[in-house]
Amino acid sequence: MGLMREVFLISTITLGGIVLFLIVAAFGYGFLRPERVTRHGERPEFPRYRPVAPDEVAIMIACRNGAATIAGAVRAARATGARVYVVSDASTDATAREAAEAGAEVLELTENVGKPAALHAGYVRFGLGTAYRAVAILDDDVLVAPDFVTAALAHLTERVAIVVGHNVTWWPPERRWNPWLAKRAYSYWNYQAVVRRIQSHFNVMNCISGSNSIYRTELLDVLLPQQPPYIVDDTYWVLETHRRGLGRVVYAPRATALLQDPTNGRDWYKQNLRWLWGTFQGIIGHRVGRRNTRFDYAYVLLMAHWLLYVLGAPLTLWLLATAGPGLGTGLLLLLAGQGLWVALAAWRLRRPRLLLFLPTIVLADLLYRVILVHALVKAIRQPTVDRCVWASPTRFAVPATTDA
Amino acid sequence: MSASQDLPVTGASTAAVGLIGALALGIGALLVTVAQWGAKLRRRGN
Repeated sequence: MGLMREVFLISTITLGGIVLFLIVAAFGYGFLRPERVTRHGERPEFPRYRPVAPDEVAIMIACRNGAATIAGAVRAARATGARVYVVSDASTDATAREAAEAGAEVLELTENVGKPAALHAGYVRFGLGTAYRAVAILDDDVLVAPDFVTAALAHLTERVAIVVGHNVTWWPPERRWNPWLAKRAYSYWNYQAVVRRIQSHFNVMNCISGSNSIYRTELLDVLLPQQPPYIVDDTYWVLETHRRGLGRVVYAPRATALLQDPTNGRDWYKQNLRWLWGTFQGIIGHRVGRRNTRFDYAYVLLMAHWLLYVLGAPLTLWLLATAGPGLGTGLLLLLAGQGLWVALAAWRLRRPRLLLFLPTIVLADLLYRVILVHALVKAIRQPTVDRCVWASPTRFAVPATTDA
Repeated sequence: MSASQDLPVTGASTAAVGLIGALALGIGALLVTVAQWGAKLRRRGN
């Protein structure tokens, strides 16, 4: 006990000393360099944008060989009341015809240029920058709710540049026992209920949904002509929006979209690897953490979380095996903790069967740590890409109507 | 779509980061306030 008290006293006195020193140093800094200390209310503000009416919003979808899903996506988008524009990125199937029959205006590219370049081509050709004030960019397999546009516009206030929609995994009855869909349904819920809400509040969102977000045309005029150097285009867009101070990035929990997610382990791994690879490319390329902004600060905290998350698993197992109630009991305790979260998700998503997926969710969670490390290594070896082109996971056809 | 949406925020690592973040935020806010106070005194002195 004597030793513990000594350690406690020494660390308290040391920490107290450091904090006191920092306070004196901060005062001295302000006194000696008053020109470098901003006064209250002096911070640069974001541009003040004009309000957007529902008929000033267009929907654009870039698509390559999406004949199986594009008609459903276009019909759902049309149901919002907005006009829908589709760019077929040199598709070799019936994508263009299906889209046109479903009610979209279609541009067919003859060369496969990748999603961001295809979006730019459509944006220019259809004159969206002048005809509209905002554009919702969707993926070709996304089913937006009929009130998607109005629900998102409610959040597009004068300082806001991007409104991020709410993701829901499309989990149809015929795939009700698919563990990868269960894992993704849980993860989306968890991420959006916690991280995305907090990030939206503080305007530090580092990751948006490229599959269902609304952008002001003033922003797209700046972002779309650029060729993203990262494998995930929306990662680049959100980083540029923060870096250039183009406006707030907020989350609209009621602007719902059903997303098609990977249905097997291979596709799940590959998709997460690409997303995280893009994330790390963004961190390296945009030198995240090197500027004194709230966004950088929040991102550094997030990275600290990733580090603890990756190291935490082996550390916890080691601790459980060597101390405490023993490995078996310890693992059960951990499972119970995770079970509480999954139970909460099962209730909120109205999917009681989610509880049965608890073991697979825990296992996939372990695998996710491997992907994080894999993606980091990949980003260090390949910090940029020439073209933002990738193959999407296997999609399944969208029925004409769905209540999934 | 991108990034870390498959990464759940549950458990001890999140709590630890939250705690560190809150502490750092608190100390940071304190230091900024003190620096502003120093600058204010200097400006008044001039």
